[in-house]
Amino acid sequence: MLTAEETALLCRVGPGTPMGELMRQYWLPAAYPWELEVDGQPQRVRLLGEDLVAWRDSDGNVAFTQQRCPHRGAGFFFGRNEKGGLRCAYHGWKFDVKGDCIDMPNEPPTSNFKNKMHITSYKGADFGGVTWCYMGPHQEDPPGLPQFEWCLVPEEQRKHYRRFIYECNWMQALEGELDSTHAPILHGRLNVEDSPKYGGYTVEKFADFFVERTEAGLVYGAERKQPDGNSYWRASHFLYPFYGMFPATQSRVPLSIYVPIDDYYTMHFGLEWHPTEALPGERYPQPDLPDEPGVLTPNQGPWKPEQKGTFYANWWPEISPETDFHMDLWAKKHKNFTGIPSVRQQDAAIEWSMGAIMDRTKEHLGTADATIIRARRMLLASARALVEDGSIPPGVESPDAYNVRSVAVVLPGGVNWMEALGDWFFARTTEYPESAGSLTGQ
Amino acid sequence: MLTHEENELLCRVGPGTPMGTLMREYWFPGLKSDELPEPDCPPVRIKLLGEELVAFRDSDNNVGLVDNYCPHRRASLFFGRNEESGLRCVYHGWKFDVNGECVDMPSEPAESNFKDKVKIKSYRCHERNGIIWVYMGPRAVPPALPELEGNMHPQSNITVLLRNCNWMQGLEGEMDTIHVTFLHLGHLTIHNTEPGSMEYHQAQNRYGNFSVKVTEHGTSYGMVRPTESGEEYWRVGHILFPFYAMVPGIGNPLGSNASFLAYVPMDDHHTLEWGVRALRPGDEPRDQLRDYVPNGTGWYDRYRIDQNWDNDFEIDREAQKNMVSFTGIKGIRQQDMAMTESMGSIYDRTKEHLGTTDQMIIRTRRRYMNAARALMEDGTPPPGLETPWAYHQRSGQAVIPSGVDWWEYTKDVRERFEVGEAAMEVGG
Repeated sequence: MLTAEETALLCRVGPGTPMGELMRQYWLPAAYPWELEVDGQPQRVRLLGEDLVAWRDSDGNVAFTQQRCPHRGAGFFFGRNEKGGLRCAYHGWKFDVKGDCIDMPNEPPTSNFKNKMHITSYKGADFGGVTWCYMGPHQEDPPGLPQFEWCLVPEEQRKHYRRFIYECNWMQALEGELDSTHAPILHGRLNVEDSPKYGGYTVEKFADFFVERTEAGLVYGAERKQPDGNSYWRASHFLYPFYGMFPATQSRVPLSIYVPIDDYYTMHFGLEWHPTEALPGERYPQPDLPDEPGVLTPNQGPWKPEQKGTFYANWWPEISPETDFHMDLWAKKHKNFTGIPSVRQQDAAIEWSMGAIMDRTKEHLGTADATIIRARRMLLASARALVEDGSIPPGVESPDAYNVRSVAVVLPGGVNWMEALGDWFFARTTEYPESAGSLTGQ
Repeated sequence: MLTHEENELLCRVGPGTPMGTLMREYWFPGLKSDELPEPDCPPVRIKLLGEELVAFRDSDNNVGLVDNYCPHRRASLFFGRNEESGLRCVYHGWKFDVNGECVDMPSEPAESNFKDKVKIKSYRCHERNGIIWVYMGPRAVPPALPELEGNMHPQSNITVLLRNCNWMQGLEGEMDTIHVTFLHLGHLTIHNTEPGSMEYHQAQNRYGNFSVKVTEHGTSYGMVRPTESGEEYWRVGHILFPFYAMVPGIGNPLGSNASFLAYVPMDDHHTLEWGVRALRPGDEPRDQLRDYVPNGTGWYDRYRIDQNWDNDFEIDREAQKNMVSFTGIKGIRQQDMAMTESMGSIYDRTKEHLGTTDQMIIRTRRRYMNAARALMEDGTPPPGLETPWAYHQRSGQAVIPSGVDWWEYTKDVRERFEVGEAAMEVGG
């Protein structure tokens, strides 16, 4: 449980809020590079409550620029991206990626008004198949980009396979990622004898939790003791400020990203990679939806047609509050726990149903919520420390700390999980940990 | 730049606000006559200056404009029965005439005099050549209608357009004539225009010098650029209280037509833009290059077009890139709408940066704020209210000799007024 003040401190990310200031210390995933063509159409973006246009200039540089022209407030979305700058369509004022005014054709040639005009324009960078934005105070000298393994491997070993807008606060979405015990329930199938395409199945729903600090966040393990004396471990990371992982398999390591659009909307990116092997399939998200009731897609389903006039116009999912997340009552009765045809949309439905910013004064957390409690406490402490004495939050100055992985494996009972899994966890080996036995279900 | 308080003063027009009080002093266009096509036709929802109203035409062809809400239990009179010279609420049958008098109250005993004590809020209406003018002000004897020639000939071209922004934002676009050279004509160069034409002068010299006049009707501007032949190319326009504009347009010679624009606030965030042009013998209606969606019955369902915010005004980025037009947006007015709506419905003027070509905006805003304050402080009548002839103005473009006083030199064409005595009387 949090107080109302703590909840606001944790969730609110607009300019000037403590958590918003914390977020602004980091590079934020904001787009895919191919969405921003050289001299192409500027895109509406909202990040941390700020409305911006993203665009790429003639030399390939990306900028995230204030939404409106400083002259008379016309929107840059309608502007012309041409010859090294973005030109407002109203009176022709033109700005480069740094935000300097480089042409002001409606003022007399003798005027120096142009030289005084500068607008907010944040740095962009392409890395790992993502375009990142840095909104922080060190625009001239931003911190290093996080050295995730998926950013470092060749493109064929990486898949950006899911992306859509959550209609809830970012922390709610992230908490779902840190909440390991919901997985066999919310995402589970009803009948153990059915195919896993209807959902996972774990006999033992209860788990013991172990949580430890890392340089850029937390590592946590959920241990489920098995009847044969072994332990089934699902172990993963929380990385500042909004990254979570669900457990990896031998065939891929996943990462989930929850970028705050504002206090009420969140951009989710889902991706996976392999340390050594190429992954099959498309490199970017597809609008997949199963034809058969009860079968689950790992993707987000189809998107709505381009939602013109609003931010991230192409990333609003069909499976959404207005469609009750495509909940199918037959499937819910016979095949899986929710009847919602996408694993990730099951999460989105639950997190949306809590209200845009969940009222944490009314919750009742148990032992299975240990990771959530720790992550909140850390984030609150970091945000306060940043505002009070300028303490740089975890991970900002250690980009290599992002080179980590998750796991799901059966270990013999009683072994030290961190010792057994550490080499894989911190990417010191590319060998997936060996399993001591098998599980019922899955 | 304005302070937040000034911005509020300038933009807000609801009941009791200074600018709303100023506007209520004047007659202004409320709806088109053809929105109430015949006696006893269905009533229409009308929002004006933040007030929700219902307009109806009674059996005797009189137009009424009354509160949307029945004074009894606040049911909407939009659902009412328009019959036998009055609008009857369908809830309990209370009936009101165009003057707001309750003429029937069948739910009360016959001997009750409650009916005689109940009035519904009603505003005066006056029809003139296709426009229903309304007066929402406090005077028992309202002022005269403004002598806007565009509406003083029997034939005219009247278009109305919903603008999803504050009225002042739309009106400022009419003060800001230099944007025409960029937003609307940015694709023109001296190579694809006729030497000596108005377009050529704009392509040849994009920057312009403003001359602003404070006048009896409000403010006026001339914006000048030198021509290659040593003369001066002037664009002349006017802002007339409380929200009219006369603009030089894309290709209008000065004084060539009798027309005006009106930015009538529905509320602080929605505006009906009227374009009214007299069609005298020989004048032709013009294609506005816009496609209207049929009017519906909701508050904001009148005079919408198919290009709008929700489809990015159908911007064509290829046409933009290839300079088919500067914006890639079809239609001059739609280009304006993209700009004014993209500012936000009430644009935050604490964040703007005005330059030398924004003088007309700066001076006009000041005149509006001063007039609103003066009215509130000591009842000073605002500009034009008591001088209906001050509206005898025309706008347009002209090439005139260098060095002359543009205001005096253009006086005869600028102040041309060609309404006969008979029409004046009809105009009432």
